[in-house]
Amino acid sequence: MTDRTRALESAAWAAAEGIATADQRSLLEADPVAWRLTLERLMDETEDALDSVSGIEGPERAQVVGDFEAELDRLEAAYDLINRSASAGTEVLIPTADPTGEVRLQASWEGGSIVVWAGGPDVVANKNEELADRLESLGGPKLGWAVHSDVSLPNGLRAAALSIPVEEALGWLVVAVGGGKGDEDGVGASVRWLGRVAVSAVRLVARGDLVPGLRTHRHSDGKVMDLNVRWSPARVDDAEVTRLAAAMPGPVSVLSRKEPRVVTLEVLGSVVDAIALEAAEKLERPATPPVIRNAADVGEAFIARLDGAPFTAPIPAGAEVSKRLDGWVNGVVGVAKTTLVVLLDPPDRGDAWFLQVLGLGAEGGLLPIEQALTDSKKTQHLADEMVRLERLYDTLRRAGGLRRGQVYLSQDEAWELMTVIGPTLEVAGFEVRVPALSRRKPGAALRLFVEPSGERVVGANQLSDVRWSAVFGDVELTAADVARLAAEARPLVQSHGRWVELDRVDLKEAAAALAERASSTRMTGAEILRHVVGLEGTPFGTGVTVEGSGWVSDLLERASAAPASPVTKPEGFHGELRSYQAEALGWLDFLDAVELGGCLALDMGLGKTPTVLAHLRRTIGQGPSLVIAPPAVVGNWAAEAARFVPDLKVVVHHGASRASAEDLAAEVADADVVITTYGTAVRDVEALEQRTWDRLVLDEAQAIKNHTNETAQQLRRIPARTRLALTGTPIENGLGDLWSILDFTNPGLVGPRSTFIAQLAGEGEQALRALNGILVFRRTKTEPAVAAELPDRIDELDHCTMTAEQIGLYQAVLDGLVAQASGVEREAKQGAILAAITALKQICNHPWNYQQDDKPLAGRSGKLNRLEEVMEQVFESNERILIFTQFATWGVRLAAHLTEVSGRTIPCYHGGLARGARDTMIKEFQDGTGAGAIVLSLKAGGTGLNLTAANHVVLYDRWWNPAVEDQARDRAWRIGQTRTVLSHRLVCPGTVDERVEEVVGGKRRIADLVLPKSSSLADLDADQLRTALGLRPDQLLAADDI
Amino acid sequence: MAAPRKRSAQRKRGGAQKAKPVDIWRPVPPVPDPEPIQPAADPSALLRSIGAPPLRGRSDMAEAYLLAVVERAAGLATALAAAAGLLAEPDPDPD
Repeated sequence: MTDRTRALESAAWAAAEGIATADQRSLLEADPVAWRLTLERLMDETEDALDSVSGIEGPERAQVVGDFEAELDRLEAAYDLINRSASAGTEVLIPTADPTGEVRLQASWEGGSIVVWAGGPDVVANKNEELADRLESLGGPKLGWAVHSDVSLPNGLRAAALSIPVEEALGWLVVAVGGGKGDEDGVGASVRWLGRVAVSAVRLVARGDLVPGLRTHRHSDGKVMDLNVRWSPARVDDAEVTRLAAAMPGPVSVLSRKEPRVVTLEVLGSVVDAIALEAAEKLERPATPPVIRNAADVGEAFIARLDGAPFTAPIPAGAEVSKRLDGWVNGVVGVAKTTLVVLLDPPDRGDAWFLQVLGLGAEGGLLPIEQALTDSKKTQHLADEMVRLERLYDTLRRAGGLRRGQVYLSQDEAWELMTVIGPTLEVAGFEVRVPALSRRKPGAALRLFVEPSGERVVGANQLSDVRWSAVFGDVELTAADVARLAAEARPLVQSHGRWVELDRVDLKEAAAALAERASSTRMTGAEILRHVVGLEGTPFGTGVTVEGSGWVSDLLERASAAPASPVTKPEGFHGELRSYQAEALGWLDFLDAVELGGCLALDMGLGKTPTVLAHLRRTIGQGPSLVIAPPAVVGNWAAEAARFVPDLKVVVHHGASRASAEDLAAEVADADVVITTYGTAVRDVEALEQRTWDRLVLDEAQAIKNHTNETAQQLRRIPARTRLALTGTPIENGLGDLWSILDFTNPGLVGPRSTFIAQLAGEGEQALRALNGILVFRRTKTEPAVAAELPDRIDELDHCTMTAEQIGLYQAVLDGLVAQASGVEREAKQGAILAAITALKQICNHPWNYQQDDKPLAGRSGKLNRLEEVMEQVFESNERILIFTQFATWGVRLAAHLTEVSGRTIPCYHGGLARGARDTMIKEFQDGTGAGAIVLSLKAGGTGLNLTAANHVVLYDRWWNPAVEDQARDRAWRIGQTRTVLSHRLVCPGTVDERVEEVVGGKRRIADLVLPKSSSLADLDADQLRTALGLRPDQLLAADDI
Repeated sequence: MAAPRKRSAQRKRGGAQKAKPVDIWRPVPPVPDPEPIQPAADPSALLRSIGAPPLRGRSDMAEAYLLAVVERAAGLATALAAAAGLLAEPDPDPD
């Protein structure tokens, strides 16, 4: 015997026993033929064994024969099931059973009550207490139980039992057991089966498939009878009853000994009755007549006792009413019977919808009802059904010259049938066949059909002949169509194969919009594009769709043809782009292909720089690109270019040592990318405008949000094939900012500023949606798909400028140190140097930090300027920021300044505050929502606090020990933080600040800072001091670059 | 389609005339999981279709009470279905 044969045999046995494992089920289901053959072999072998043992004698004969017979029964049952499934073409069913030797909760049906006991094959629980505990652990009803006599099982075992009326156990049966919780261990198949039948009963009641009747019980005196209302299931699905009956486990009928089908119908009926009686109980009803003498009194009592309470009546009266009620519900009670078909045809040219009723003819086909009533074998049933149908839908009785069951409907009537009456007729048991419909309101939009006029001009200035229409879903309507539909009582059209009702308000708006545009028959590409993105207004707030050919069609086609899998590892890019960056790269390629400018509006921290660098690498060789950025990020651009795209030739053009106007051409000749600052670009604009750049990139393009300022005006002079603006806050102060940026990237394309602001639908982010993917590529950190890809923390290093005041002070302090250090003792010299380092760091922060003067802070520090830029972007995103400094006094002054410039109260947390005040400050910050900031001294606020309300951190100045800075940053980046934390470190290049950065970065030791291989600061001579602490002009960012 | 087995029909059991004890633990086909329950928007339609009950002089009143019971019962059944997690999601465009 092979392993497979052995496995099949084990699986077939287990399945016949109802205990097959998941693997065994899979094995059998995978090959039903092998399963059947295995069963046949096992049955043959068992029959042979049965034959051989039938001849034995002695007391054990009955037991042995019985065992083999039981095995054969199970094998045959499984075999029958496979054959039935194969005949029906359904999935093969694998029997289930309670496992041998395990005690489970079982339920038996006994005339409207559920009798529970605990047991399994060959084992029972025989104590009520044990049963009660089991019931409680399985969430059974706490009340309503009564002790039942022990349940006698066929094998002679007796199980302790409790009983409960079905109405007391409804919640448990339906919700706990039927709802799937019955799959818990310890719940027997019989309990699960009852729960499942109860669910079927609930379905019947939820559909209204129930009818009332009177149950009667004659007294022995032959004069009176007891009556009570009983609700019965109607239109029961016969196939479902058959399935349920076939699946009924033996324990269910161990008390009633009834056939499974009878038990199934009894349980269905009892649950339906229980739900209806509970509903009736809550209904206020008339009083029962004091004496019931005749049929009229019985009728009154019937109404009064709809809750099932019994009443007594003379037999003739009770029987008469009971019989009449039985006859009344006869056509619908019990199993569902063949009924009528209501068929609605689509409308003819005159918008008339033909409705006809069909019935089953003698040959089994559907015939018009009038014909079926003479042809069918069940004419009385059909006639009764027709009466029932006409009672619900009296339009069928409308006089009109057609045959019975045939009628023409108006649009209005047809829609009502499709949407309201049809479902009602189905509930009543009729089959309704209507054309497919949709209740979803079809989206409305205007459409432009565009055809180039034949002139040779291409691009945004290309002239095209245009034709307007309105589109509802996939239905295009001319102005005449719209006018005709608007005049109809029920404007119906067929969209995507389904009938839909058009909104009359939309039709009215479409009519007005088409009339308004009727004279616009020729447009430029730019005008068409403005219509497409909604800049010329639209009645539906969705822009305009374009069909036909020409520049805009081509542009839109390319925009929508983004690759399904954007490239995350573009050629020449040393790294991997996140998905949204790869999509942005595809969009940049699109812009490049159609020679359009655009705004890359990724939120701060989402990686605009690497994305653009990847694009610049992809377009290498097309000519140099000019990147203009704030001084703080120029260094970052150069560093990221070296890291991600090392084979791009990058030239940084800024600072005193930059190429002169005359030398610029030579410097650019071999470059792929030239990086400069806004200040330098404006100063050198005459040199920069001498050539046409392949691409002009403005980083932190909010610098040109005011289109009238000097920077925005001067930069427009620099010619470029395409222009790209990068910003995380494209609408910082409103749509005017966005217009300035887009008008810079595509001069003239987005039309006048006032029209742009007035017509762009919605506000804020919503307004960007219309432009997204064409002129703008917007992604925010709050988008789940973006957030999912972000790291927990992003650290950025911002290079800041030094103002002339800072440089002067810095130089003066250094000169003083050199002079002072020349004639003092070693210890004094060392102290002076350390004091000077602190002073220089303070000057890098802000002159006030060093000399605490009375002058305002604004405009005197590159770091402060950068902090204000960062804070503005954070506030624009409605987020919160922590600002750390090691100088507490400076922190207080800084907080006051930031409060003044931002208009928001920004406190400073430092060690000089009382404990209570500090706690309150932290609680208020942490509990606050929306934009907010707090300045913290590194010493007092750097440890122990939980400030997860913030997801931005600025380390305004540097501390020697990186662990201290990490601890400060970790106030926000810690357990409880759900967003990416963006950390900015502010550094002034070419100063002591940057040398501290090197120490913090682990590149140098503190001692090495001032003198490599020296063991003491005091060993430094004057030149060494200037080298170690002095300004380095080649690295310094001068303030005029701000 | 599978051909019926010949041998099992012919088998003779020892003591075949004696009634066998009922095997209440006999495996049975599994019960299919219930489909989600879609309550009727108009649950009293079936009852309305058969007209008022034939109760002389009380038909209209009886019909009104019966319809009210059916509506309430349907609501109760819907609540039970919802509690069991068996309620179907409404689909505005059923196929």
